[in-house]
Amino acid sequence: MELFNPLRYAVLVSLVAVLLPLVLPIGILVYSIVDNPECLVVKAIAEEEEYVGNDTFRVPVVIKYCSMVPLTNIKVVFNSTTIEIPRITRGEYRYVVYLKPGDRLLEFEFRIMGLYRVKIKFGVST
Amino acid sequence: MIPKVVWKVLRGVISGLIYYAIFLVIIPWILGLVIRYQIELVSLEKILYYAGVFIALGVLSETLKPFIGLVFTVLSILIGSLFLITILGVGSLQLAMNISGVPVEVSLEFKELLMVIIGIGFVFAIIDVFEKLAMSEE
Repeated sequence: MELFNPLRYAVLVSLVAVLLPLVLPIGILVYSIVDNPECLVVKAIAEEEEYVGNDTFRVPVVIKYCSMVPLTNIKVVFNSTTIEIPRITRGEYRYVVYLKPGDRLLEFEFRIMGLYRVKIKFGVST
Repeated sequence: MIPKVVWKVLRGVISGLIYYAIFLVIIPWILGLVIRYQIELVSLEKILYYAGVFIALGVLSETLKPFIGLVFTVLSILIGSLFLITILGVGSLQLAMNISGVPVEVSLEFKELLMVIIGIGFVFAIIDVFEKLAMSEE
């Protein structure tokens, strides 16, 4: 069974070379969130909300992110509006949304380095 | 001296156990380690059934004539991939949890990773097939 062993080792090395860049982003992100649960936070700042008429409030939304792995195709879905962000890296990002009374965060969706899609649905009974 | 047939059967059992370990133990375990979530492996009652399938295919592949045996080697890989896809839910994982008291459903898709692992599995299968072909011609 040792006829093709050199080829097997070569394939194994290429497997490791391909898997490392695929596995590292998800591994790093999971470890950063386990290390610091406040690593990825989406927060509407209620103190700064402002009534703009027609039953609508202007609310600042802050996204805080601490990991070095970039997130892409971010989608923050509220009842009446959606924020779409192409890419975020480590830092704090501020957006302004127009919400109606009773609106809440329904979904938060992103891709880890453009590879793995993560979708978080809030308020879904377990 | 151990008869040749017993030796071949033993080799078949070992190769079956190796395929079982790779597809149903090692790969789900590594993926579980990376995403920090215990992937539910085969339940205890089904372990013998799954292991039996791989052992049977391994024994058939080693004891039959090389060209017929090849079919069973390929079947081991195909069935292993099928089991893997069944366990990992076609590369998508769903978790229900509570974040600050709010019930939350998290879904993670890792199709690309699964496809790479299965693809490399097929490359190893093709190498196995070529090796058996080359050895049968010697």
